[in-house]
Amino acid sequence: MDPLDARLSAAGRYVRDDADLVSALEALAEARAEGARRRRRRRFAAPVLTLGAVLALTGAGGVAATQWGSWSIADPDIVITRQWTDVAGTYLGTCESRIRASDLPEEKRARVREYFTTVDLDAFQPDPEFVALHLKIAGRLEDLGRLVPGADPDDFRTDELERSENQTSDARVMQDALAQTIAHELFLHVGRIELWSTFETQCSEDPAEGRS
Amino acid sequence: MTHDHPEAAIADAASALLGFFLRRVELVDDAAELVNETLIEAWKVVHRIPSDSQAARMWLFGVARNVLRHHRRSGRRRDALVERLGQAVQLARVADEDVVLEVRAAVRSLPGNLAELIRLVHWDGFTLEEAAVHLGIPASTARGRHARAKALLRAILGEVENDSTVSSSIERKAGR
Repeated sequence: MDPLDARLSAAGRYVRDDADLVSALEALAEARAEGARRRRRRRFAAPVLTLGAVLALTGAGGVAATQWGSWSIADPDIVITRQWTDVAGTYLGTCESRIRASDLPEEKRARVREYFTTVDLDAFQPDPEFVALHLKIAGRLEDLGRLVPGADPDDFRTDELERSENQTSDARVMQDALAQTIAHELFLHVGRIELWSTFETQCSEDPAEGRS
Repeated sequence: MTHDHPEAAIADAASALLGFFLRRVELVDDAAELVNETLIEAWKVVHRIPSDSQAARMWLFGVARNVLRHHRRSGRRRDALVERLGQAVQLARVADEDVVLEVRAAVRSLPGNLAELIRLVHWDGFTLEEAAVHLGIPASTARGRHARAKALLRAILGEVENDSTVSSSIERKAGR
């Protein structure tokens, strides 16, 4: 072995066989695992926090339209377009989300653009928790299994949520849930960013859009 | 090789993640907090952990690198379990020998991209190719940087090339 490799290896060692340390680390890992298991059964307690970014993200530029309107963001850096169907293949609508990175701080802007050049946007899937959240608020959580394959409304604790009169189309719910997934991935890769003025979504339920 | 469950992948990596942070932050408490943050982030998207063990490890260290990049000491009240881990690490630590401190200081003195490559390969156990993925550079670039980093370290630490190189050098001189 190269003597330098041996010296480097020795310099990188840290205590890992100490019983108290192992026990403390195991306790922490188990606590976080248990927390995640609990949240799976009552998902709305935590997602309200983790969804903060995307609630902001969809709150500002969101247009609850059933047909295309004029865009606030005419010169987007990223465009995410999806045609949505339910699990049976019934067309729900077509949505387009636009992201403009130029409003972000310079350092974040470069990283957001770089991030989107490296990912396959088509591979992202809507966050089921977000879909459930919106359906519950809309008073139709029973539609969850129709929109998310294999999802069961009983997996979600929803008793704390109040119903809103605002109704959102299925396609819009799915697009916003997709945005939630992307927002979380962005957080992991770029850090927390405010997308209030830089994100806009429109949806159309016009079947003609689905054929285009 | 595949792991049975993402839960196992996370649990298996916890110790290595602690080591990852201990080698990169000055305060033990920060390392404990960063492990905690990494576990929380990993669990949020647990369904995305690759089924292959090594890919899962790469993924978890990717999360850890991002957590470290965005870490700011929050000053918020720390979880009792995080406090306990921090204390356990403190108590378990033994005074490092001068020779170890010298090597760590030498690594720290390298340009940032070279130092991180050395840490990933020699301390975190990644291959050069895997380290290249973490750093977002081609493997060929990583190999070049690695050679340069080791040459710099040898110079800083007053190391000779290695035994075989020295031997062949001596033989060449003797043959003249």
